[in-house]
Amino acid sequence: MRKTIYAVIVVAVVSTVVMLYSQFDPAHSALAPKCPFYLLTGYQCPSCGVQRAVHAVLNGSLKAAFLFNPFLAVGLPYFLLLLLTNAIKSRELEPIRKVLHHKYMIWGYIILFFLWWVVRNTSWWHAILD
Amino acid sequence: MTNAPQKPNDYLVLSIPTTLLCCLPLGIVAIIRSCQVNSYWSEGKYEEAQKASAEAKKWSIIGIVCFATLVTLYVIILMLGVGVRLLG
Repeated sequence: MRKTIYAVIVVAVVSTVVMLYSQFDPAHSALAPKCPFYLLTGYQCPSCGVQRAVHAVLNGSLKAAFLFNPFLAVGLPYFLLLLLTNAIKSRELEPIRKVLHHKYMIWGYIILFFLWWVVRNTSWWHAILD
Repeated sequence: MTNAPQKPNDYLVLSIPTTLLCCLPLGIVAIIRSCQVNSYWSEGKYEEAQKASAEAKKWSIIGIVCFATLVTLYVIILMLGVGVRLLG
């Protein structure tokens, strides 16, 4: 029963988000939430560009999505695999589970997170975007 | 089998999304505590592992709640703005 309620909530939220972000470009919409870190400092945070990337993916431009936030291309599959191995507790998935929860994997993720935070605010990255 | 207690949940599935979307510093704290759950447990420090697990969960939830609050506040302010413009 509880699982069904969760499933209904997840499906409702995901379909609403998909519908909104495929129709509206968050870069040109006052309705899209703005990053507080960016507003305060003028620097982009590691998650900046996620909304624009979602919009780009839903409209079929994968390359643009990747450039808006390449970290998402690492973080999102990682999170989805975690979700999958968390939901299905089968023995076949146990090796994947072990890799995902390994400390090198987690530390790699943290290091990549901070590296990306710095790199995206350098003139080198801005030059790539232009 | 040893008489070790069952390995606590590392809540990685909660702490990773907090860094993808939400309050960043909280997410990193949560992930580091997640990582420590497994390290402590494999070293036999069961009590520390339990503590790390509880904190990983705590910081993840705080991060998610902060994010939800920010989005809600944003929507409320937006609605007020729209309302003022419509009336004024």
